Amino acid sequence: MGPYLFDVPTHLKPLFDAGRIALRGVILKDVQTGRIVGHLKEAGQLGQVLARLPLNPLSSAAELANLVAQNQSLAAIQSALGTVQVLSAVGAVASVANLGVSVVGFAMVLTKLKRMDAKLDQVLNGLDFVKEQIKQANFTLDAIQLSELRAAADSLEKAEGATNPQNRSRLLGDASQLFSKQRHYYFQLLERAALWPHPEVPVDAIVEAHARYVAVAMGELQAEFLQGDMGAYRRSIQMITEQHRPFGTIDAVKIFRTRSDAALASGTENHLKVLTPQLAQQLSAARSILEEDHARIESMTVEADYLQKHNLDPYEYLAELRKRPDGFVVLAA
Amino acid sequence: MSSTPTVSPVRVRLDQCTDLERTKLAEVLKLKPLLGGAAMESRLEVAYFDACDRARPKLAAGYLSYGAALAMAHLLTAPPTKQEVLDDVAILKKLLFTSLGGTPAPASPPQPEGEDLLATAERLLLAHAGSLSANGKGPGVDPVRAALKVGVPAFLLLAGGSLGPALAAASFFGSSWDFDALERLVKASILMASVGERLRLEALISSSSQSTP
Repeated sequence: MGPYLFDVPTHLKPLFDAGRIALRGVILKDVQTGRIVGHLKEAGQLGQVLARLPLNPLSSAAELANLVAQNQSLAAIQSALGTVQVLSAVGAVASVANLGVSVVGFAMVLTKLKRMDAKLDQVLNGLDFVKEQIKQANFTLDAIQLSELRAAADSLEKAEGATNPQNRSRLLGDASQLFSKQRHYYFQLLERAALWPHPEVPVDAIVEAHARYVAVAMGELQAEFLQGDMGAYRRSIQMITEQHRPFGTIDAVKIFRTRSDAALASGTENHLKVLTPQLAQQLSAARSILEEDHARIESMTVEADYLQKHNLDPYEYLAELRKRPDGFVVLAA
Repeated sequence: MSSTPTVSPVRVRLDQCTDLERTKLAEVLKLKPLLGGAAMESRLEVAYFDACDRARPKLAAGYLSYGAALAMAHLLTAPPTKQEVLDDVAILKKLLFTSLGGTPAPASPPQPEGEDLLATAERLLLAHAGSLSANGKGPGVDPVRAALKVGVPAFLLLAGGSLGPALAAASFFGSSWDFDALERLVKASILMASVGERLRLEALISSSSQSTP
């Protein structure tokens, strides 16, 4: 077993048993102090199983619940997660879906990158204010090419299987560059278009745009991770964490109010149409998803620390985790 | 007059309104020019309750009517919740179909979330174009005003079981009721119900994040 922790660490067990540990995404926190005490990581083929789940849990809650109910591994994980308090408006089911967004479970991200469809682009292309804002940033929505994302995902996948170090390094470099470019496009889109206050933009479309940012950022980090330069990898995590920080939380009440006012300004007849419990629930869930995503990105330095502390090679680390039984492991912080 | 609300009522104070909501309320109440800050709020309060006072004597005189109850029972005390307004419209719809149109009441579909109340009233009136035409009214009549005019005698017809008092009431209300005041009150009540709904849902959003350490 070596330095890997495939069970709840002994010193955390009493906290688990006493219900004093809470889960937000992949982060385990001490409920009383708020301190991070551990991180969940996928083991075995769990990443492949999670890859079947939708990228955006908000847009496919029913599909997600159905998949979890039908899959024994996911049901078991959901049951295991039930032993800890889940600090998320999106609940345990969506937390299961979000588990895969980490370096270890990158197979999930790769699969999901390939499954992205053009619905989001169609929504955004129909909004003049979005087009105007990104035009001022000197790019167009056409620049966010799904084909380019898929090419980056392909390069990464090939790199994982490459046996020639030079070939591997080239593929990883290509993937990193492509993901980085796409990440900046999505950043510009999210920052400049400021989609949240606009009632005509569905909340799930905005969450999807954020999920894409996170997915391509994870692609970039995965490429850095596999290149094995922990210093560069750590620096990339820091840069992405800082870039993502403004997106890591939203003032859901303020957004709700702004959307309400925008509807009222367009006519009193539109006001009540906007004020729905569904919108309130979606904004609550979106806030939770964004906070989880940010915590996940920010906590990746802990994994880098873990590898450096134990002098582990990234490939060996991944291979070892994938050999384990399906499930999750806890890395103590 | 209303069924039990399905949600906890949220009563609205003017200081809980956004600037835009206050501006719209002032427009509905025809309060101009707009003043800023506390002075504006004070003027709004006065205008709001002044409009109520202008309608109150009609109730005091004993002219019980659905239209009056619709506008007054809520507004003399506090604005209605969204659910109460939806309930009111549903009751008014039933009254109109059963007492005036002469046509069987169709199965009433559930009120969709956020359905526009004014549009609902307008649809009701258009559905009764025949009845309205017989009274010299037609499409294009102000929906809220017409709804009140029709609703008042409709209630009396049902309550009294006699056509005579209903016609008398229609004549009375048609000539002397302060429809401008009532119209403003109804529109203001719909706006304030919207604000109440916004506050209720904002509280739900806030409460959903309070478990996070």
